[in-house]
Amino acid sequence: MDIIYVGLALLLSLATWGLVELCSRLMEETP
Amino acid sequence: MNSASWMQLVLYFVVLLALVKPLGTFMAHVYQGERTLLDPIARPMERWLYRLSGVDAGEEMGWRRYALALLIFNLLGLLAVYTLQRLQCFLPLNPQGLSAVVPDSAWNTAVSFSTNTNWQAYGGEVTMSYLTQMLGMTVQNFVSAATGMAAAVALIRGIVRHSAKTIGNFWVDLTRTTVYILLPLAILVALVLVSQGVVQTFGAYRQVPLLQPTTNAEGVQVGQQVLAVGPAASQIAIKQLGTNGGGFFNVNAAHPFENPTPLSNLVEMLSILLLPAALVYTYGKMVGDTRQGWALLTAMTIIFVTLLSLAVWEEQSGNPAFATMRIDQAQTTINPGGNMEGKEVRFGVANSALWAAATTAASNGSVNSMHDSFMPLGGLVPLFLMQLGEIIYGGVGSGLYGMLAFVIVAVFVAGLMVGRTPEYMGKKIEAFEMKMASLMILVPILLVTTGTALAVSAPAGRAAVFNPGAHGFSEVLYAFSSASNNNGSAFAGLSANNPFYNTLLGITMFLARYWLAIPALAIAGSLVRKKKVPTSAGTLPTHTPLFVVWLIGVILIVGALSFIPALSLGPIVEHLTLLGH
Repeated sequence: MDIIYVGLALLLSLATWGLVELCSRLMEETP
Repeated sequence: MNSASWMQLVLYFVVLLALVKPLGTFMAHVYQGERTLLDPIARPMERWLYRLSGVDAGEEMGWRRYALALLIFNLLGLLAVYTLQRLQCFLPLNPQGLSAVVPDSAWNTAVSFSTNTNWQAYGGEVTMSYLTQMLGMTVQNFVSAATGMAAAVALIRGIVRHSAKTIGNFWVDLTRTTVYILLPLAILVALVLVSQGVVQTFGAYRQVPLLQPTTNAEGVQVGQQVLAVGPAASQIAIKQLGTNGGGFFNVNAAHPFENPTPLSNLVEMLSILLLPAALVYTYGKMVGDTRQGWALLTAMTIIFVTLLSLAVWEEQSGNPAFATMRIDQAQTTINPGGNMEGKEVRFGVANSALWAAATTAASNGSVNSMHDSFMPLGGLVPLFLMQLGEIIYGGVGSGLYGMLAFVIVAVFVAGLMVGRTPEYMGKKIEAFEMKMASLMILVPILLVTTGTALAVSAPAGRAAVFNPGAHGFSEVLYAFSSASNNNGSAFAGLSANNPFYNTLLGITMFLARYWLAIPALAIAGSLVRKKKVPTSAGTLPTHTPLFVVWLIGVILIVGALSFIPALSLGPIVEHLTLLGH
């Protein structure tokens, strides 16, 4: 079970970094 | 309500608002790197920490790097708290020999404390060792609060600076917040609490003789009781100041060892709103126009006082169902009257309602009464305060950046209405800022509604609800409103310490924290690059009473449109049912 919850924490962090990338791209694309 | 209750409410606001300016000014000095009274002690400590961690205090960060540092630091904190709970049975400072925390509960607690939510599915005194409480919970109480304040300060810099690329240094903001602001205040409050009788010891739980021996359910005479103690005062001080809220004991600040006297109650209530309110003034100081801070503080205070009045009125009016049970709800010199179910006699109705409003306005989540026992509309108040997005003072830092998202929306809508390009603090508010502000407002709404829908649809979610009907729905809605806004208080009546709720609420708390902080930092990154636009006749002044009213309108309309349907299924229908009786 430990590996599932640690994995979940890493997955959510990765998704959040994806949000950073998305915001960054939006910032460059938005006139 | 008697005159003593009125006086306590007035005293609370007078002291709170009197402290806003001096503390707000002090924090502005701290964040601007100016000299402060604490420099002789704090500066050497700060420098030592930089040397120890290899931080270059002069280095500036762009918003992406700032966000990365924030995310990595918080992920490491989460993993550390998780590991500590799982290994506590092998570690020192565990005089009760408590076993390892089960994985789903450890996950929920680790996310909860690292995100400044402090939702507690566990009972502190029967689950966590002293080491876990101190190294896990208390440390996260400091650094999660400092993380929120750092993000808010980065956003302020984004507004203040122009034609630039950087918004500060996360490690410096985190360190300065902890060393100059949180630590000194926490020491002060902890000492006051100890003076009032809040426990602070490493000793084991005490077995004491009962004053009135009794018999238990099996008919056996019981003459002794185990009293849980521990290093509570130091944790309680920061849990209130950092708007964390996680109790050392299961019943939180209703426990006489956490909150023994009316004075400890006043100090703890002041600690809840002190930093969020003062930070708004800090904002005004840092942008060079304190009227901006006062305008935001006025909007927050008007909404807070209005909702608090509803809660006090409802609770003081009493429960019509109690009348048929011949329960005395009349107010006398020795009886506060009203609905006293789930409330401590030493606090009464006014202080219980005030605490409930303050703790949910400020994303704190500690309680001194059981919100589940409030009247339906009294319980609606904490629920709605959370659902507004924890921006009425709000969490330390997160409340300010959440409120600034609403300011951006208010300015943008006002600009559309008069056909001018919206501006705020000399910066043009354009499509990107609106997208980010919308994300910040919509993410918690989506999390509350989706989480509640999942829980009431799934058998595992429904099985944990003790009360049938509208009240049970309110309990689930409250849990997800609390987790989705990083509050942490519970309505009770929901058996949430199971894999379903622990996992789902953990995911909710994580997204509620970082999927708001990231857009806030992105707004900072966007605004910092912009040129300053000179004020013209077409600029909407944002410090006037008109703007305050407009901002309140935007906040309430968004909150009402999003949550009145859900509230109608819970507290509103319960209120109407009670009236029907």
